[in-house]
Amino acid sequence: MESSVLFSIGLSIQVAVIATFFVVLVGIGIAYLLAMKNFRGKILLDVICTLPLVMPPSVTGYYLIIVFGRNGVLGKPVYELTGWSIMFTWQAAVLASFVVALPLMIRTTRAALETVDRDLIRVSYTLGRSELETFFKISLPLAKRGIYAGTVLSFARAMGEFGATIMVAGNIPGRTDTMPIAIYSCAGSGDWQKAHILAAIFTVISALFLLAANRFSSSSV
Amino acid sequence: MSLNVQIQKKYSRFQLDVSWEIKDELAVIFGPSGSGKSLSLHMVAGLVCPDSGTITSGSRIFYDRDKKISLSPQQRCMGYVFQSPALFPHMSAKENILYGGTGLDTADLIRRYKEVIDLFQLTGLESRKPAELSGGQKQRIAFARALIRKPDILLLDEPFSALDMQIRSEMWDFLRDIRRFIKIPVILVTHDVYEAYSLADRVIVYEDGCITDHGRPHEVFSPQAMPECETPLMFSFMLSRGYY
Repeated sequence: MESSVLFSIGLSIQVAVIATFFVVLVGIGIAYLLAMKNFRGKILLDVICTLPLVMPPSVTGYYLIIVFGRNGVLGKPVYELTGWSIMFTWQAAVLASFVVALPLMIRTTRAALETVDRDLIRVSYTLGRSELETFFKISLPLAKRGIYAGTVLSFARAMGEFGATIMVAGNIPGRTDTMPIAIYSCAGSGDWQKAHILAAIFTVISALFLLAANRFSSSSV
Repeated sequence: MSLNVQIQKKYSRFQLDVSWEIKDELAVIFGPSGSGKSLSLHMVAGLVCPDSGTITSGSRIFYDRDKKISLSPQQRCMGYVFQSPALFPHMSAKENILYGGTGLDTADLIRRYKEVIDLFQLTGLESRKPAELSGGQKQRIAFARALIRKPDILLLDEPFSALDMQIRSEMWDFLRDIRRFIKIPVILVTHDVYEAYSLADRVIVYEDGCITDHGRPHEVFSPQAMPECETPLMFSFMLSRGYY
């Protein structure tokens, strides 16, 4: 197999794994807040976290440029301080994948946490267990199927991310060309053999992840 | 030990304003659904915060609005048994009970575990998951879990209402038995007149968020005080229990 194909596969997996790691950490935290707490700005947080799910990925990518670009709200001070910008790096692909996959994790985990019987949580508190302990020993194990399903879906979404990624990471062969971007390039340049191989591999990987997600979500607790 | 409760809470369509005191006895909060019984218990446990008032036990202050004291449920050391046994479905009976042993060191935890297993007749059930247990067994495990760390107060929120009549009657006997070993204030919420009459040392009657009567069961449930007690069913029940 061509080294460029292997590179794209490797980069896609690397980006998806790192993005999913952060998606799980941040997603479970936000899902817990939305499922269990009442606070001012809850609806706003929910809307902001869900937006990347309904917006075109190119719009998400555009906002990422506004925030993280060399002249962006956060990107500018970082560039002035360190001389480094995230734009057009593989880390930008991680960022884009993180943002588009996060809503899937939040929504799946939130739904799973909301199904946990509130009496179980109250019992745990009256037994002297802290909120953190209750979360790790009661809520999380009881919501684990939903969390696994959310993780698998987020990983698959991160692997397949294209629109926002090409906006912030570009299409630099050997640096930022993840599988979806490499397929786009091959199709554009008429390299159909490579496009066929990448598309076939991607289809198999996606199907496997969907099967895994279905298995987790249909299993009983 | 005693428990003094004086609490107020206002919602858009309901207002709770009650004041009562109990000692090391079994007090039944009795009243119809929606009268504020369970809400009172939630407030005593620290699961719901009153708008104003005080909840104290001797010199211990659980809640005092004026002094801005409101202990969390974790700090109150109260055992709470809910209407549903609320056993953790992913844990075995043993794990459920041990989960209640917060603050005990390993030696104490093992000793207390053996004590409650004997007291609640749970030998042989330790490895079973809640789904493999009957309603009565689940509720006995819920009691064991609530009592393993020797709470200062035991709160029972209609713990027998979901059980069928035969199991419920067994659980009443069981509660009478275990009260010989636990000398702490016990508060039982119920809307079942038989349960209230047969178990209570003291009855506090709630209606629409207020206390309408309180006293010994034979005072509160006398035909003069409560005309429903004249029904043949209630009379036959009392006869069977030897009250007349």
